[in-house]
Amino acid sequence: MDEQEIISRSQQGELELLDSLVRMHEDSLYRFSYHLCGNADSAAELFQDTWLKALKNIGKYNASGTFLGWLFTIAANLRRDNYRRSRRWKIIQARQLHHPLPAEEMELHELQFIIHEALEPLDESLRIPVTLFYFEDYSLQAIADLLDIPVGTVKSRLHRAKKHLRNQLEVLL
Amino acid sequence: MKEKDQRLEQLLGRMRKAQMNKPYGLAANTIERMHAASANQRGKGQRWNNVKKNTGIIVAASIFILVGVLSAWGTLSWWVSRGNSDGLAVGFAQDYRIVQIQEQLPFKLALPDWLPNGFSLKEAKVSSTDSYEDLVVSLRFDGPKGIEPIILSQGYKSDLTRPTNITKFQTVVLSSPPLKGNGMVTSGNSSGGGVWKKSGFYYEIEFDGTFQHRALTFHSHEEPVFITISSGSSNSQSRIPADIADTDVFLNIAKGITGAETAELQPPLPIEEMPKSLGLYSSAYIPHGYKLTGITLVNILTNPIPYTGRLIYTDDELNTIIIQQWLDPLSLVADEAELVEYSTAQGSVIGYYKNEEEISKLTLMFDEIDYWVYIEIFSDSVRAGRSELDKIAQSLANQFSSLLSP
Repeated sequence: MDEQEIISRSQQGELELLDSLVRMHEDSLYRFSYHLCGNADSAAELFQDTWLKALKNIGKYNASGTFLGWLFTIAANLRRDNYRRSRRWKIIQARQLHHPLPAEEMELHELQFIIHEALEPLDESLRIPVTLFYFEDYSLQAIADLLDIPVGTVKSRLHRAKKHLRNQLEVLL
Repeated sequence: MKEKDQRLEQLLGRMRKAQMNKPYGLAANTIERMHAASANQRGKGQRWNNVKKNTGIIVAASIFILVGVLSAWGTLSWWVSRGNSDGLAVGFAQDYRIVQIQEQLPFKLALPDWLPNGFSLKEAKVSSTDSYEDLVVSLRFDGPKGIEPIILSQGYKSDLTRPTNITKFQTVVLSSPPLKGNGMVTSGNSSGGGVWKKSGFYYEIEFDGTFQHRALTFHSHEEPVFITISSGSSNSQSRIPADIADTDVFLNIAKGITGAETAELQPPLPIEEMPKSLGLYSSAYIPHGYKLTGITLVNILTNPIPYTGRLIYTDDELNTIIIQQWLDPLSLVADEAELVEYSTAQGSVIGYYKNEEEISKLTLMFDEIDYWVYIEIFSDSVRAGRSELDKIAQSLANQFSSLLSP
């Protein structure tokens, strides 16, 4: 049974068929969630919340774009809602109590934090392509297919996102 | 510009190196939650279809009443049978999953000798990153259908940071029997043999009048770890479709782990007094409108006190003040920060003040014999600006040498 048939039958009420899609997209959605959240706990929570929301709204999925792209959009929207509530925590929790990371890892950890902060204000239409292109090595064509948009649109979104990031990360460049 | 673009590409490319340790069983746990959620949705849908099929409202109402009575009876009988299982020997210490995990651990797993009727070990897992703080062992116990699993987790860190939705936050006393008067009882987080008494924390979270999460956390008497017994979810976006075990279950499991008598402290200890009972510095002055809403504790294995702490204060608009403290053998020299000094009866206490990106930070340093005591005070709002942080710092400085346990 292919993905489209699974979705179609799930929309008819055979929700248990979604199990196979959870496993099929586990790595991709978790990695995407991790890039959005920056830590394992929040990423796992976002992963689960995304699927629960997908389950609830499976009837609304209309097959324009890929199912994985739809999941990414749900995750990005959920993350945005949570982010507004938790921004203060994120800033302060970045300062860990005695977190003995090696210098290089600490630098990467800080860089992750700074880049996440810079990405947060971006609309998901820009953020999803950036995340997939730069962090997950998706090709332009793969992103276009995933989101069901022309390659040119992917390029222009990446360009706009980079312009924003260049301003936000000015001090590091 | 081109150079900056290249540099930006390099920076973004480095994110690919980010480590992602996917939690064990993520897909399986997700599927389980989806099944529970869909069963709940389907149940509601089926009941509604039943009502639609029946021609008389009275018949429909009778079905609902019957369903309600049967559900209530099922739940009630579960709780009654749970109450009967006094001292149930669980005996899963030899379970291969426990044995395998125990072999990897630097501490001895705490296992309960009591569980509610119908509960059994479903899953045992270890999650860890490179930092020892993040090592967490989770044992999941599943019970009868319609009752949320109970999770027993153990690790070097305890996080009670739930700033917005805790509806009950209570001190639980664990005391090893027999108690022979206050003279032999040590308070706080004493360890070692003999009679002992310590504090644990119990909290509940409700959404729309329904319990969604209950948890009890305490510091182990045997090992430098925190033990948390929990059920449900603290995430407001993940509504729990099943019932949550009641408070007594948590107290009884804690008793089954420690052998201690467990009870909620009566009268309840005001939350503001909790840091002191944990041996943490806390300020007598907190700006108006801020309340203590979270406590995080981390075991620092090489330190003379069992853990370090973070106290979180929030106001109604979620502005936050955090007071976090730890010991370190090294002194701090802060760059680009203003040196501050506070006079106390014990002498002067120095610190550093810095305001960066709307976050004010004041760091105090107390010189103990082998260690420096550090206290950092953060504020993310002008409501608690420099002058307020000074007042908090002065209050903390006044306690210098008066609180640290030997």
